[in-house]
Amino acid sequence: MIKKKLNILTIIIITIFLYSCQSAKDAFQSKKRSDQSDEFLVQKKNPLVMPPDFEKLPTPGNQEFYKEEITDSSDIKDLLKIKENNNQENNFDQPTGIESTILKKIQ
Amino acid sequence: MNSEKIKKVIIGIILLVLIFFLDRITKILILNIVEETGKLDIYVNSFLNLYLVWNKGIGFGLLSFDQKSTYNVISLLILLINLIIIYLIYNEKSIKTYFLLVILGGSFGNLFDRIYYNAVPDFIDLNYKGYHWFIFNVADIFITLGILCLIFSELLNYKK
Repeated sequence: MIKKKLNILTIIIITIFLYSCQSAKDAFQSKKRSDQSDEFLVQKKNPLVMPPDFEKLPTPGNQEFYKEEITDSSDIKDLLKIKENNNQENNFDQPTGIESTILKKIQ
Repeated sequence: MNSEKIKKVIIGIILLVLIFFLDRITKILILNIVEETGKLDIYVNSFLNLYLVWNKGIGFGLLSFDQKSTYNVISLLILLINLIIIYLIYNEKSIKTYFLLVILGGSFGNLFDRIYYNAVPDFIDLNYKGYHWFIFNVADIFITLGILCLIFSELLNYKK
Protein backbone atom coordinates (compact mmCIF):
# COMPACT_ATOMS: atom_id res chain seq x y z
CA MET A 1 0.00 0.00 0.00
CA ILE A 2 2.86 2.38 0.84
CA LYS A 3 4.48 1.53 -2.47
CA LYS A 4 1.25 2.39 -4.27
CA LYS A 5 0.99 5.72 -2.49
CA LEU A 6 4.61 6.48 -3.31
CA ASN A 7 4.00 5.64 -6.97
CA ILE A 8 0.97 7.93 -7.10
CA LEU A 9 2.89 10.70 -5.39
CA THR A 10 5.80 10.44 -7.84
CA ILE A 11 3.37 10.43 -10.78
CA ILE A 12 1.73 13.62 -9.52
CA ILE A 13 5.05 15.38 -8.80
CA ILE A 14 6.53 14.41 -12.16
CA THR A 15 3.47 15.49 -14.11
CA ILE A 16 3.59 19.01 -12.65
CA PHE A 17 6.60 19.44 -14.93
CA LEU A 18 4.64 18.20 -17.94
CA TYR A 19 1.70 20.54 -17.37
CA SER A 20 1.71 24.08 -18.66
CA CYS A 21 -1.34 25.59 -17.02
CA GLN A 22 -1.03 29.10 -15.64
CA SER A 23 -2.81 30.94 -12.88
CA ALA A 24 -5.74 32.94 -14.20
CA LYS A 25 -5.16 35.56 -11.53
CA ASP A 26 -1.69 36.39 -12.91
CA ALA A 27 -3.06 36.43 -16.44
CA PHE A 28 -5.87 38.87 -15.65
CA GLN A 29 -3.62 41.07 -13.55
CA SER A 30 -1.28 41.44 -16.46
CA LYS A 31 -4.29 42.05 -18.71
CA LYS A 32 -5.46 44.91 -16.54
CA ARG A 33 -2.02 46.40 -16.55
CA SER A 34 -1.78 46.17 -20.31
CA ASP A 35 -5.27 47.62 -20.73
CA GLN A 36 -4.35 50.55 -18.56
CA SER A 37 -1.21 51.21 -20.45
CA ASP A 38 -3.06 51.13 -23.78
CA GLU A 39 -6.38 52.72 -22.99
CA PHE A 40 -5.43 55.40 -20.54
CA LEU A 41 -2.12 56.31 -22.00
CA VAL A 42 -1.75 60.09 -21.90
CA GLN A 43 0.84 61.84 -23.94
CA LYS A 44 3.45 63.27 -21.65
CA LYS A 45 3.59 67.04 -21.57
CA ASN A 46 6.82 68.93 -21.32
CA PRO A 47 7.25 70.98 -18.13
CA LEU A 48 6.31 74.64 -18.30
CA VAL A 49 9.27 76.85 -19.12
CA MET A 50 9.70 80.59 -19.66
CA PRO A 51 9.92 81.52 -23.35
CA PRO A 52 13.37 82.80 -24.31
CA ASP A 53 12.02 86.24 -25.50
CA PHE A 54 9.66 86.71 -22.58
CA GLU A 55 11.34 89.99 -21.68
CA LYS A 56 10.50 91.43 -25.12
CA LEU A 57 6.76 90.79 -24.81
CA PRO A 58 4.72 94.03 -24.51
CA THR A 59 3.17 95.09 -21.25
CA PRO A 60 -0.34 96.67 -21.27
CA GLY A 61 0.92 100.19 -20.51
CA ASN A 62 3.76 100.20 -22.97
CA GLN A 63 2.64 101.03 -26.54
CA GLU A 64 6.00 102.09 -27.97
CA PHE A 65 6.84 98.58 -29.06
CA TYR A 66 3.72 98.40 -31.26
CA LYS A 67 4.32 101.78 -32.75
CA GLU A 68 7.83 100.82 -33.68
CA GLU A 69 6.61 97.62 -35.23
CA ILE A 70 3.86 99.41 -37.16
CA THR A 71 6.24 102.05 -38.44
CA ASP A 72 8.71 99.41 -39.45
CA SER A 73 6.15 97.45 -41.39
CA SER A 74 4.65 100.63 -42.93
CA ASP A 75 8.12 101.72 -43.99
CA ILE A 76 8.66 98.45 -45.73
CA LYS A 77 5.29 98.72 -47.47
CA ASP A 78 6.04 102.29 -48.51
CA LEU A 79 9.35 101.23 -49.91
CA LEU A 80 7.73 98.40 -51.81
CA LYS A 81 5.01 100.71 -53.19
CA ILE A 82 7.60 103.17 -54.28
CA LYS A 83 9.50 100.49 -56.00
CA GLU A 84 6.32 99.18 -57.61
CA ASN A 85 5.35 102.69 -58.70
CA ASN A 86 8.84 103.28 -60.00
CA ASN A 87 8.62 100.12 -61.97
CA GLN A 88 5.21 101.11 -63.29
CA GLU A 89 6.47 104.59 -64.11
CA ASN A 90 9.46 103.14 -65.85
CA ASN A 91 7.13 100.96 -67.83
CA PHE A 92 5.00 103.94 -68.83
CA ASP A 93 8.05 105.99 -69.78
CA GLN A 94 9.23 103.42 -72.23
CA PRO A 95 6.79 103.45 -75.22
CA THR A 96 5.83 100.24 -76.89
CA GLY A 97 6.40 99.50 -80.57
CA ILE A 98 3.01 100.76 -81.84
CA GLU A 99 3.13 103.90 -79.74
CA SER A 100 6.57 104.79 -80.99
CA THR A 101 5.48 104.48 -84.63
CA ILE A 102 2.44 106.71 -84.01
CA LEU A 103 4.58 109.25 -82.22
CA LYS A 104 7.07 109.29 -85.10
CA LYS A 105 4.27 109.88 -87.63
CA ILE A 106 2.85 112.77 -85.58
CA GLN A 107 6.25 114.36 -85.27
CA MET B 1 8.41 -9.26 -32.77
CA ASN B 2 5.05 -10.98 -33.11
CA SER B 3 2.03 -9.54 -34.89
CA GLU B 4 0.26 -8.63 -31.65
CA LYS B 5 3.22 -6.56 -30.48
CA ILE B 6 3.46 -4.83 -33.88
CA LYS B 7 -0.25 -4.03 -33.65
CA LYS B 8 0.27 -2.63 -30.16
CA VAL B 9 3.16 -0.45 -31.32
CA ILE B 10 1.16 0.88 -34.31
CA ILE B 11 -1.84 1.72 -32.10
CA GLY B 12 0.52 3.42 -29.65
CA ILE B 13 2.14 5.53 -32.38
CA ILE B 14 -1.27 6.48 -33.84
CA LEU B 15 -2.50 7.49 -30.38
CA LEU B 16 0.62 9.54 -29.74
CA VAL B 17 0.52 11.30 -33.13
CA LEU B 18 -3.24 11.89 -32.86
CA ILE B 19 -2.96 13.60 -29.46
CA PHE B 20 0.06 15.61 -30.53
CA PHE B 21 -1.60 16.91 -33.72
CA LEU B 22 -4.94 17.55 -32.03
CA ASP B 23 -3.12 19.77 -29.56
CA ARG B 24 -1.13 21.43 -32.35
CA ILE B 25 -4.25 22.14 -34.45
CA THR B 26 -6.02 23.86 -31.54
CA LYS B 27 -2.95 25.94 -30.75
CA ILE B 28 -2.48 26.93 -34.39
CA LEU B 29 -6.16 27.93 -34.64
CA ILE B 30 -5.91 30.04 -31.52
CA LEU B 31 -2.67 31.68 -32.62
CA ASN B 32 -4.20 32.44 -36.04
CA ILE B 33 -7.10 34.23 -34.33
CA VAL B 34 -4.61 36.22 -32.28
CA GLU B 35 -2.64 37.08 -35.41
CA GLU B 36 -5.79 38.36 -37.15
CA THR B 37 -7.46 40.20 -34.28
CA GLY B 38 -4.45 41.15 -32.17
CA LYS B 39 -5.71 39.45 -29.00
CA LEU B 40 -7.75 36.48 -27.79
CA ASP B 41 -10.53 37.14 -25.32
CA ILE B 42 -13.52 35.10 -26.44
CA TYR B 43 -16.56 34.57 -24.22
CA VAL B 44 -17.93 31.10 -25.03
CA ASN B 45 -20.41 30.74 -22.17
CA SER B 46 -20.69 31.62 -18.49
CA PHE B 47 -18.27 28.82 -17.59
CA LEU B 48 -15.80 28.97 -20.42
CA ASN B 49 -13.67 31.72 -21.92
CA LEU B 50 -10.86 31.54 -24.41
CA TYR B 51 -8.09 33.78 -23.23
CA LEU B 52 -4.50 33.43 -24.39
CA VAL B 53 -1.60 33.46 -21.95
CA TRP B 54 1.96 32.34 -22.50
CA ASN B 55 3.45 30.10 -19.82
CA LYS B 56 7.21 30.03 -19.50
CA GLY B 57 7.20 27.84 -16.42
CA ILE B 58 5.73 24.47 -15.53
CA GLY B 59 2.32 23.45 -14.23
CA PHE B 60 0.25 25.90 -12.16
CA GLY B 61 2.49 28.78 -13.19
CA LEU B 62 5.38 27.44 -11.11
CA LEU B 63 9.03 28.09 -11.96
CA SER B 64 8.15 30.88 -14.35
CA PHE B 65 11.31 32.92 -14.67
CA ASP B 66 12.55 35.32 -17.28
CA GLN B 67 16.07 33.96 -17.10
CA LYS B 68 16.97 31.99 -20.21
CA SER B 69 19.28 29.61 -18.35
CA THR B 70 16.55 28.59 -15.87
CA TYR B 71 14.12 28.10 -18.74
CA ASN B 72 16.59 25.84 -20.56
CA VAL B 73 17.25 23.78 -17.42
CA ILE B 74 13.49 23.22 -16.93
CA SER B 75 13.12 22.29 -20.62
CA LEU B 76 15.93 19.76 -20.28
CA LEU B 77 14.29 18.35 -17.16
CA ILE B 78 10.98 17.96 -19.04
CA LEU B 79 12.82 16.27 -21.90
CA LEU B 80 14.39 13.88 -19.39
CA ILE B 81 10.97 13.06 -17.89
CA ASN B 82 9.69 12.36 -21.40
CA LEU B 83 12.57 9.98 -22.01
CA ILE B 84 11.76 8.20 -18.72
CA ILE B 85 8.13 7.88 -19.85
CA ILE B 86 9.30 6.40 -23.19
CA TYR B 87 11.41 3.92 -21.23
CA LEU B 88 8.40 3.03 -19.04
CA ILE B 89 6.21 2.57 -22.14
CA TYR B 90 8.83 0.31 -23.66
CA ASN B 91 8.92 -1.91 -20.56
CA GLU B 92 5.24 -1.77 -19.65
CA LYS B 93 3.04 -4.56 -20.92
CA SER B 94 -0.28 -3.74 -19.28
CA ILE B 95 -2.92 -1.19 -20.24
CA LYS B 96 -0.77 1.42 -18.48
CA THR B 97 1.14 1.67 -21.77
CA TYR B 98 -1.78 3.54 -23.33
CA PHE B 99 -2.17 5.82 -20.33
CA LEU B 100 1.52 6.66 -20.51
CA LEU B 101 1.19 7.24 -24.25
CA VAL B 102 -1.64 9.73 -23.65
CA ILE B 103 0.56 11.56 -21.12
CA LEU B 104 3.50 11.49 -23.54
CA GLY B 105 1.37 12.85 -26.41
CA GLY B 106 0.30 15.82 -24.34
CA SER B 107 3.77 16.32 -22.97
CA PHE B 108 5.27 16.33 -26.48
CA GLY B 109 2.75 19.01 -27.45
CA ASN B 110 3.86 21.28 -24.63
CA LEU B 111 7.56 20.48 -25.13
CA PHE B 112 7.27 21.38 -28.82
CA ASP B 113 5.89 24.81 -27.88
CA ARG B 114 8.61 25.32 -25.29
CA ILE B 115 11.24 24.74 -27.97
CA TYR B 116 9.45 26.47 -30.88
CA TYR B 117 7.85 29.50 -29.17
CA ASN B 118 9.96 29.59 -25.97
CA ALA B 119 6.65 29.49 -24.05
CA VAL B 120 3.50 27.36 -24.00
CA PRO B 121 0.21 28.95 -25.12
CA ASP B 122 -2.66 28.34 -22.67
CA PHE B 123 -6.13 29.46 -23.65
CA ILE B 124 -8.91 27.47 -21.92
CA ASP B 125 -10.23 29.48 -19.00
CA LEU B 126 -12.82 27.62 -16.91
CA ASN B 127 -14.62 29.75 -14.38
CA TYR B 128 -17.62 29.73 -12.10
CA LYS B 129 -19.03 32.86 -10.48
CA GLY B 130 -15.77 34.74 -10.83
CA TYR B 131 -13.61 31.87 -9.60
CA HIS B 132 -11.13 30.92 -12.29
CA TRP B 133 -9.35 27.61 -12.59
CA PHE B 134 -5.83 27.61 -14.02
CA ILE B 135 -5.77 28.47 -17.72
CA PHE B 136 -4.75 25.35 -19.64
CA ASN B 137 -4.58 23.87 -23.13
CA VAL B 138 -5.60 20.66 -24.92
CA ALA B 139 -2.28 18.96 -24.13
CA ASP B 140 -2.97 19.49 -20.41
CA ILE B 141 -6.36 17.81 -20.81
CA PHE B 142 -4.70 14.69 -22.22
CA ILE B 143 -1.99 14.72 -19.55
CA THR B 144 -4.69 14.94 -16.86
CA LEU B 145 -6.67 12.10 -18.47
CA GLY B 146 -3.57 9.94 -18.62
CA ILE B 147 -2.61 10.72 -15.03
CA LEU B 148 -6.11 10.00 -13.69
CA CYS B 149 -6.25 6.70 -15.54
CA LEU B 150 -2.76 5.82 -14.31
CA ILE B 151 -3.67 6.63 -10.70
CA PHE B 152 -6.88 4.60 -10.93
CA SER B 153 -5.04 1.67 -12.47
CA GLU B 154 -2.45 1.96 -9.72
CA LEU B 155 -5.16 1.98 -7.06
CA LEU B 156 -7.05 -0.90 -8.60
CA ASN B 157 -3.79 -2.65 -9.45
CA TYR B 158 -5.23 -3.39 -12.84
CA LYS B 159 -3.41 -6.12 -14.72
CA LYS B 160 -4.30 -7.39 -18.13
